[in-house]
Amino acid sequence: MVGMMRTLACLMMLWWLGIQVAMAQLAIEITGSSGRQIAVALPYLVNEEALPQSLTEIVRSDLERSALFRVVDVGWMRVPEDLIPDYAALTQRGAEAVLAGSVYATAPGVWEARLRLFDTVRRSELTNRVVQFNAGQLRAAAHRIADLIYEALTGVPGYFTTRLAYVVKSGNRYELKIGDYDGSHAATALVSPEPIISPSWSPDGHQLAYVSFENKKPVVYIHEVATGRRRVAANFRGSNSAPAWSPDGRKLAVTLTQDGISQIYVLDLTLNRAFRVSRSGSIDTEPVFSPDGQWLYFTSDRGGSPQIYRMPATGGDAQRITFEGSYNVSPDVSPDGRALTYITRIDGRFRVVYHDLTTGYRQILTDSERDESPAFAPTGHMIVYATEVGGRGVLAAVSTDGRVRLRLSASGADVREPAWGRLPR
Amino acid sequence: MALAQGRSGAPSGVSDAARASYIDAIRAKVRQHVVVPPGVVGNPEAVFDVVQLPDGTVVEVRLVRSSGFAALDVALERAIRAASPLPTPPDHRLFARELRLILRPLAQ
Repeated sequence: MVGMMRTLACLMMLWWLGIQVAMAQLAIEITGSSGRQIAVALPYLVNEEALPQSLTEIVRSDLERSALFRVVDVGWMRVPEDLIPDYAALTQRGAEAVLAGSVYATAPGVWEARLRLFDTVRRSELTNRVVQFNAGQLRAAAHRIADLIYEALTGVPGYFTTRLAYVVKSGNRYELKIGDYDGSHAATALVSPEPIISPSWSPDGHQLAYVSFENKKPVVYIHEVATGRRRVAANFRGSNSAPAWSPDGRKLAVTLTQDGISQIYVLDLTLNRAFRVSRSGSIDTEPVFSPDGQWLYFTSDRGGSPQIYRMPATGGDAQRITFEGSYNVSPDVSPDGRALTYITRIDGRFRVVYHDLTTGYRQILTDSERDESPAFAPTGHMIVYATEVGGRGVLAAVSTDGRVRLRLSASGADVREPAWGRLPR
Repeated sequence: MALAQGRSGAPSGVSDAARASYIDAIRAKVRQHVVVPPGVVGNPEAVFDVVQLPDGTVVEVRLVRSSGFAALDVALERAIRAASPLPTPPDHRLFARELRLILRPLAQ
């Protein structure tokens, strides 16, 4: 009896201790966020004055325009990469991270920036990099540094080294231009008195497919960006349009009317042959490959109104994807294949949508009148699109959660047809 | 073993109000440092186990359940570490060495 009581007492003691241990872990629910930006200190690099142009100012501008970062003013402080930063002074100014670094001349006209990014709160190094460049590559180097900082502090790849292709119309002149991610510093790839539309980047960033009306009918060309050389990819009877690269770069999906109505074909670039993949009596167009190359998303009015469908890339039954609204067109697929962006018409207005394919969740990202041509950034978290401001076409970008809006370089001209591609490695 | 929700099981002699106030202080300080990275949609939830010293210094942060977005997990861990030292309760009996933080940064 005593033994049992003792056992019972022991068990009760253990149970009570157990409760104490359980209660010692306090559970707290935390909702919401600060809505705040990441504060980063970007002092001028040691010896940066030797450069023809400031690297740091480009990095600061990239990060500030992303709206996720706040650049902390550290005055004339210099932070070389080979010393431990003055963390106290930096945190006192509110900085959570600092880019330390110096510029070294390694050969005439060639420099090297040696960089270390430090977390001033944890007092540890986040990442380091050596970046080499000549005067002509300075801007690209600055964008690579901005990417490095962006990814180290948000966990998400930066888009600052991506290239933006777009078309500028002035009077009766159309120019296909390729510039930085924001359209700035663009070089002209083609000038034509007839329209140029639908530029599409190859997956490796070396080529651009587009449709030109210079022969008085739509013809698909492939343009090699580095050399400016181009070739005709599709010039079949009728109209050739809407080129979209396969992820392996070996095929181009296009819309052809050679069989009478707009249908989707896949052009094998090695065999130089087109294979018809859609078979409907309606208009099927604007094809885009899924990132695994297995599917084609496209616009079709086979159901009575323009909607987005999906079919196997080799052809077969199509499945309808959009069911909300009477007009959904111009799909693009995110790089991870999980989402689509497209244009939807609501109350007579054309807006950019983000559509999560796994949940069916759909979010309208813009509140404009007339948006067109949405396209994902190769990093996936931003969508570029063409919109109209004051009667002129301008390019804008919005983050997939709708929080960040960027207006891309407005040169005052009429700008359309954006395509965002990867910087060739 | 049930986890205390922060309301029941207060050591005797300590009011629920004092406990609630302590929890609110921790909540506010961590929330203040949460910066949500781009591309996060829906209403994701992440769970972290945190170990703190009596002065509030955070010594361990462990991801128990991911939000489904790697970048968000990273951002939430940063926020917890940036909130160190966590607020300490006026009544030391309320102090909990181990915390389980359940974060839903996109919820209101």
